[in-house]
Formats: sequence, structure tokens, C-alpha cells
Amino acid sequence: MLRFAWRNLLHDRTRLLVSTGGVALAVLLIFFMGGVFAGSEEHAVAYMKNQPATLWLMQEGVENLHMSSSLLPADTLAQARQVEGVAEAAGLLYASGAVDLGAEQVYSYIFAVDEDAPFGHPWQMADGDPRPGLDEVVVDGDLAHRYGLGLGDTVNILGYELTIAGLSAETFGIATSITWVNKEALAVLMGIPAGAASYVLVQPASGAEVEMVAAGLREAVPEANVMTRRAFIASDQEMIRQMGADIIRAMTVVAYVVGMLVIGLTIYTATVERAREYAVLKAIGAHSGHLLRAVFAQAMASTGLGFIAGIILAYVAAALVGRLLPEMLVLIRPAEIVRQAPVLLLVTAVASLLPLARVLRLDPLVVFSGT
Amino acid sequence: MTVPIARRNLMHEKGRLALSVAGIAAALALILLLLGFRSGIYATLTAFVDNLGADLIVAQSGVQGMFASDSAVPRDLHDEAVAAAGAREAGHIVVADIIFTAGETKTPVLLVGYEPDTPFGAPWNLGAGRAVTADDEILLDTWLAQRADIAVGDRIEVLGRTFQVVGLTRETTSWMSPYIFVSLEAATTALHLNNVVSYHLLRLPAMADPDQAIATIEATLSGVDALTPEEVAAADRRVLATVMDTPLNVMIVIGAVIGVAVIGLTAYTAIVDGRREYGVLKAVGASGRHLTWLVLRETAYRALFGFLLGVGLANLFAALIMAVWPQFTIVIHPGTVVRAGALALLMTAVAAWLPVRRLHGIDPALVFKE
Repeated sequence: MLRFAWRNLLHDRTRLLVSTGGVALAVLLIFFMGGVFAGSEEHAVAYMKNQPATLWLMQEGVENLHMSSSLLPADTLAQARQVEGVAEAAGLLYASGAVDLGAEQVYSYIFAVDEDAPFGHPWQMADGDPRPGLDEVVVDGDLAHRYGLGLGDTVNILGYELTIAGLSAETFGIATSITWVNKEALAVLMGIPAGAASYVLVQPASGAEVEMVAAGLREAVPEANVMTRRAFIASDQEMIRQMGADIIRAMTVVAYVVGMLVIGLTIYTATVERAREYAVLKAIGAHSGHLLRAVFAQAMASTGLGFIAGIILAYVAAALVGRLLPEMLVLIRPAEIVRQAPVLLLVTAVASLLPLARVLRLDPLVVFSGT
Repeated sequence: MTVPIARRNLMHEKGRLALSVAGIAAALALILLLLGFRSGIYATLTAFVDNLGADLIVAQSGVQGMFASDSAVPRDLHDEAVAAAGAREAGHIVVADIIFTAGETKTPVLLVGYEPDTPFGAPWNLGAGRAVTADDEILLDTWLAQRADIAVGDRIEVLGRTFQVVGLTRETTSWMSPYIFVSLEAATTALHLNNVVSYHLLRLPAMADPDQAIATIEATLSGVDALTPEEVAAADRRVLATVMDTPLNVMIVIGAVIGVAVIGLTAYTAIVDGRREYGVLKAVGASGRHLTWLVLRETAYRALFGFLLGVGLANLFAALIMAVWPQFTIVIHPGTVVRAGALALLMTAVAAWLPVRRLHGIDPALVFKE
């Protein structure tokens, strides 16, 4: 019966190709959507992941960087440095805003650390100086290339014209691009004291217990929230995940409806086309159960092929998009593929209902009537 | 007497017709929903600016919008701004992106600090409770409150400070950032601002020339730009476009390719299943052009039924999505429907290509073989 099912499916290869393609595209859409948000999660935490600081201080009540506001008093950095077990610390000023490139404005994280800070600077440079002067800026190299800009060109941030002194790498993202400016300049623009910081990054001394240092920081700076880098990263990723969860769910439902109808149409048509053969089988004694298994096997085979093709397409699309649009990271997670497989199984079962009903209604006498 | 072959072909197998029309409808509904989702984001993005109640907005120089902007303007520029613009009323607001945390849920929100005794910056649609009158009171967006299981009268923590929820607002829901409102003083303290506000807001006399007022403000005061609410809204939409358009456009393209595949599958299947009938037509003298026109009409009928059903489905799904997930606003404009219709036409033309080719390969002698 399975061979019968497989031969039915292969009878018209073009139709099988088009229907498999339809399922594959629905699967591609689902994984692509999820992949866009997964990629955004990664981009959003790129700065934290690439700084060696194990502990982060921020304003009380703040647990995120993305889309957050945080401001610590001017003496926080000095207080943090005096805590036992702290090897190094740096004050980070952060603003979010549009970088005016002339042709367009691009939303960006704007970071600033002291020139002599031990960390907080770009972790990889494509060209130029990673430490911008008072009227200078470091922008992402791919971003600059996109808009025909290079070292020595100017951009506008918060009304000030800044000269591109450096081009960073791995810092281009949708809504998560990173730009560095001079800390003194940014403090003036934000209307805050020069020594203030949005976040203080702390690196414990080698051998020091991180929790002990964190406890010391909490005691020294009670008005700050102290988080480990891991917890801070997880907090931002969770926030973005929650932002995307509902939209992904809504669009996934629609994509599955499309896929279900494609599968249903293919199997229904194949069933109608082979109605006489099914009737012959019934006439010579095949149980309805056998026939239902044949129909269901066709549906599963078509879906399985579409699912595999969809996964391949998703990875190809992710790679292609990443090449053409470097700011867009599409991350296809294997766990997500495993999660969707049973859902697709259920969708296939539902899609098979109409063809199954058709087979059940078949009258074996059709064979003898010549119609 | 002509025989309506195309119509009879369509109605011959009603189950398949229903499935194929439903498939096309679902693919088109997907495209309409994605387009409607984008329109909805743009609509809710500028809701606050659209209801600000000001004629002019004075921002830090270089800041053109409110979305994802950090504007800081000295508070004591107030009198100078009023004098320069000849304003009849003036106020200030503080606006900041923060993360609202309640239990396990984290939501980016726009914190608005406004002066309750001025007409500027207040929520324009109060669904429950009352406006803030004290510095320890807060208004939450209705959806945000429901999501976090918070009711009027509850006490919550924002930026380490305790507030009492005194009201819930409407039309302040947004997938990007719903709004929450506190007093200006509360926002200033919570954000550790020192004599700084985000924007000065001005209302001009009835016959005043906004352009003249803008020119005077920018010539008189350094470090600021004066903008109309429309300019601010346009700037916000431009920035949003750089964030949302790329991924949404890629998904819309995928949706369109799915639509082509579904339409093509149904057209192709119909040709293959009707090859005897087409063979008969060829055998009795029907030209290739006549048969091609037949296929195109059948395909166009399916696409038309699918389009009409798809528009209905899209509106139904949109209503369902907004009921289940109120943070989403899906706006399906008539213009969007027209664009989707044009896209459906194009998809039909592309999808019909393979079945037409198959049609030309049918041998009329097939009719006489069985």
C-alpha cells in the first residue's frame, strides 16, 4: 500500500514539485520569520558579548540595554573601582538615536567611553581609529559602505557634525547598529555631568569570586542594579523574544493554513485522479483502513519532502540575505526545526481529511459501470 | 450558441475548486496581513505626536523625531521659547524609552512625563480611572496592564520608584512601545535628569505663521530645532522604515512567491486533469490561442474568487489577531487591497505559464486512443 501511495505521488512529477514547493515556501516563511527575531536577539547583545567585563552596573530598576534609559551618578565609577576584587572598570554612556547620513537616518545605539578606558571600545575595526576625538565618530564599515561614506566623511548626530575617524566591523544591525562617539562630547549633548555613566562595566581580578565582587558593588553603590554579563544578556534576549513571540505566532498560523491548503489540494487531486484504482482495490477486498493509510502516506510524503526542502531553502535564504543585507542576521535554530515538525504533522493530518472522506465514500461498483 | 467551457470546467469538481480558491485566498490574505501589519505599526507609532495638542515642538538640535530619540533641552529655555514664538500656551514633556517589567514579562514602553495642569502630553483617551494628579501616580496602557495583570489601584515599580496605577489609557497600544504616563516631576526624578526636558511644546495664536515662529526660535535660541508635529511624525516614520521595511519586504516577497505557487498548482492540476477534454477541443479544431485563452480565463476566475475571499479572510484574521493580541494594529487600506489585486493579477499571469505550455503539448489523438 505504501508503494501504491508513492507511485500515486510520483505519477505527476510536476504537480508533486509544485505542491512540495508550496509547502516548502510556507515552511520557509515560518523559519525565516523566527530567524529574523533570533538574529535580532544576537545583534542586540553583540556589544555585551564582546566586552570582557563580567559585571554591569546600571540604574536601579533597569535590567536592559536595548530600548532602555539608565543614568548613574558621576561618582559611581570611582566607587566601583574601590571595591575589593575589582581589577578594572569603565563608565559607558549610552544614547539611542538616529545617525543622519545625509541620504537617510539610521537608528543606532550610540556608545561612548573614556579614551583611556580599558574596554568598551569597538572590538573589531575595519579601518581607522577606534577612539574618536571630540568631533569624531566611529561607524560600522558595512553601514558606511552602504551609503557611500568613508574615513573623513561627516555624519550628523544630535545636531553635531562629526567626522568619521574609524570604521568598525560586526556592528551593523537592523535597529541595533553601533556607533561610538567621544564621551565628553556625548555628555554635553545629553546635558549631564562629564563623569556620569549610563552603565559601569566591571572586570573582577583574576581569581576573585564574581558573586563576592558583585555583593561588594551592591554595598558600595546601593542605588545601582548589579548584574552579571550573562544575566544582562539573557534579560535583553528575553525581552526581544517576548516582543517577537506574538507576531511570530500570528503569522505562523496563517502560513500553516496556506501550507495545509496546498497539501490538501495536492492529495485531494491525486485521490480524485486515482478514484478508479481506489475503487478497484475496494472491489477486490481492500479495507478502508488500507486505503486511508495510502492517502495519509501520500500526504506525509508530500509534506516531508516540502519540510526538508523548506529547511534547505531557509538556510539558503538566510545565507543569501546575510550576504546582500549585512545588517540582517537570520538565525535558523535547529531546536525550532524540531519544535515545528510535530505541528506540521498535525497540519498534514487535518489537510488529509477531505481526501480521506472522498476515499471512504467511493463506491466499488464504479469499477463495473465503466465510468 | 457558445458553451461556457471555462465555467463548467471550474464547477466540475467543486471540492477541488473550493480547495484551490481557499489556497489562493490564504496566500493573498497572508500578503494583505503583512502589508496591514506594516501600516498599523506606522499608524500607532505617531499616535502620541498626533494627539500632542501642540503647534510647535522644540527639540534638541539634530533631533527630528520622538521615536528612538534622546532629546535634551534646558528647562529654563521656556520663557525665551515662548517669547520667540509668540506662543499663547507652552508646556514641557519628558519622553524616554524604558523597559516595563512585571513578573516575567518585559515590554519596551515609552515613558511620558507631562504636566497635568497643561493641555500638552496627556493621554487623549482614558479607558478607566482618572488622570494623574500627584508625583507617585501612573497611567498604563490598557493592553499593557492586562498583559501584566495589573488593575487600577495597584502599586507598581518603575525605574526603582513606586507608583500607584490611577488609570488605564486607550489608543496607546503599540507593538513597538506602548505608552505610560507619569507627572513631569516624577519622570525627571526617575530618569535622574537635572533641569532638562525632552521637548518644549508651544501653542501659537490663531493667525500666527508657524514657519515664521520656527525661524525666529532657531535664530534666537542656540542648540534647538523647532518642528511641527507633522514633521516629527514624518521623521519617526522614516526611522521606522529603516528598521522594519527590510524584513517585512522580504516576507512579503516570500508570500507573493507562495501565492504564485498556489495559483500555478491549481491551474496546472486543472489542465492535467482535463487533458482529455482539451484533446477533444483540439481534435475538433480549437486553436492554440483559443485554448490558451480558456486556461487564462479559468485561472483568472480562480484568482478572482481567491482574491475576493482573500480580502474577506484578511479582514477576518486581522480582527481575530487584534482581539487576541491587542498590541497589534492591522490596517488594511483600500489602496492596499488594490495593490494586492494588481499583485494577484501578476501572480496569475506568471502562474499560468506552465499550464499553458503543458496545454500546447497535448496530443488530440489521445481522444481516440481509449
